[in-house]
Amino acid sequence: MPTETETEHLRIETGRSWRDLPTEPPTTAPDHPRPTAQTTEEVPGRSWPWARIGVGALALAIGISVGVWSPWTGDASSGIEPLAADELPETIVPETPEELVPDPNPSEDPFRIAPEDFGIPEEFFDQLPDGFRDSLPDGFFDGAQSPFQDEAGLIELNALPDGYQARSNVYSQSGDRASQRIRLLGPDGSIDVQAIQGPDVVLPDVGEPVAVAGTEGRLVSSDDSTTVSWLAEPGLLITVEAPTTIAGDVLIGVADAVEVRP
Amino acid sequence: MRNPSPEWAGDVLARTRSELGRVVVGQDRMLERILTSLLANGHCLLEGVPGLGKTLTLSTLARVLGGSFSRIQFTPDLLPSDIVGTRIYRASTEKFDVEPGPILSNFVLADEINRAPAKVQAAMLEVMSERQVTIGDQTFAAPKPFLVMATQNPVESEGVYPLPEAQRDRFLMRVPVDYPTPTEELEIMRRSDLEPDTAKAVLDPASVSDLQGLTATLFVDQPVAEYALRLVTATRNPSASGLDQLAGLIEFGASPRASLALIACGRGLALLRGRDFVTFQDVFDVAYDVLNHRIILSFEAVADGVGVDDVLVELLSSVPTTR
Repeated sequence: MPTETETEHLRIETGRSWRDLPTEPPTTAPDHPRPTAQTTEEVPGRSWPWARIGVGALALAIGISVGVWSPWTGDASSGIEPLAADELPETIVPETPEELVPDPNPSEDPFRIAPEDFGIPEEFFDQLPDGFRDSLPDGFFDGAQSPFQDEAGLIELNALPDGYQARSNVYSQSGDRASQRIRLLGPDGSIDVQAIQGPDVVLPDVGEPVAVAGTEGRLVSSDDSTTVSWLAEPGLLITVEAPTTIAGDVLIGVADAVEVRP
Repeated sequence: MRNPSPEWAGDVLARTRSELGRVVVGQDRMLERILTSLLANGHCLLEGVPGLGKTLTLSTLARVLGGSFSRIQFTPDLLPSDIVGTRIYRASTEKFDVEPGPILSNFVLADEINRAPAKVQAAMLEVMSERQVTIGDQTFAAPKPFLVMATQNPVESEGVYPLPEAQRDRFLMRVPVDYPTPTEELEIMRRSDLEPDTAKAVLDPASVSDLQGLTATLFVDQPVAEYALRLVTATRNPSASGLDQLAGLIEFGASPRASLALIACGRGLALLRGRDFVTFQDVFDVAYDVLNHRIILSFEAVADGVGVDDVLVELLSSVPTTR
């Protein structure tokens, strides 16, 4: 049996779970009445405490006369520091990074890196044979290169087939084992170049012998893909895998382009 | 020198989701929350009945993310030294050597964490918080990235030691795991007849650290941060936030750690969704998982059968994005 002094909380619907969450947050304030400021209405039965005010004024006058208190003449806002809770901590919302501030006059032109940004004067290209620039890989000057250009790894490719781009390069290393996978994307599909390094890594004895990258490797063909693998050096196995939609000479070309990093 | 961009992040995260999908059927919400927790560099607690694929999901994730992985099956007789490591005597050298425990891995799966007694949970949660282990007179830093993903079975009461509220707070998110849909379960049954597919590694520890660094730089607009703050303060004083229907139901609201977690998780979800800025929707979507283990209900609420989910559904349905 609740008493008059006990807080009577408002009931809410029960038995709900996270599955009952709305899909979007509400954009406007709820209809529930917001709390109002503390009421100042007069409490019945209590008179204005004139006697207390009189005693207080008398004590103040005596205090000033004997020098205990002196009239305050300071600034009302002096010495008051804002509470930390009045402002959000700076760590939550850092200042807008410069690169995220929108350009007030954005250009309609697509973003490109000009050849001179590489330190090569335009005149240099004018002296080259016709069609040379067209022979460069797509996106050579427009920043479309892999973001992993300079990262550590076991191998790198010194050339790419026409129309192919390196889209990912994942390298991981733990103890004396390491692996790296480079994925090339081109018009006929993707080519995976994988390097596996470890003390017990050997050339698998499957498939047909094939000459690749100046050594003897193995060629495994299936209905879906063709894989060529070889040991670039003891304990370092390289495999190049491509779907059958990609010509065999392209696959061998990628294999020949693999270079072991020092 | 790596220069991670949102486009690169979107590409690798999409491939991560794709690889996870080769092994885990459905559970999109859980996968999204786990990756959000990873990007926000926080630990994640999964809660659901047995058999929903929690352990499979986390072991697959560790494989996709590369790096070192440890799985610790929590049992009632587990000791703190089984987790953090111990000193052992080498007779050959007549010296004590330190043998670090399995906790010093990039990704740690703490399976059924509530089956170990409190001292073991405390030892583990200390590592989670401080990201270092001290054994004897030597201190070992946890590797980067360091992510603990724990699972918890909510239905059993015998032989389990529920995590105290203060320790649950160490987890960035507590994610409920639901049953699969009938269509998903049919696909699980179909796959069980085939040779199980395996996921390939898409990332490496350095790339995960890059992603986490990129996540921390995403832009949060002031109104979005204020919305996150209003959600948290509404758990502390519902009446002042206009939620009189929740007055008296919450004994202890969420701490400032929850505010920071909301922003961090909002950033993680934003990057996962291919954006370099956080929206109200990002904060709203992670709010349940961030807040549900940080609220302690009052006796009146428990007596009336009100659950944390009831309170959060009411709160998230009522707190507006604009003041």
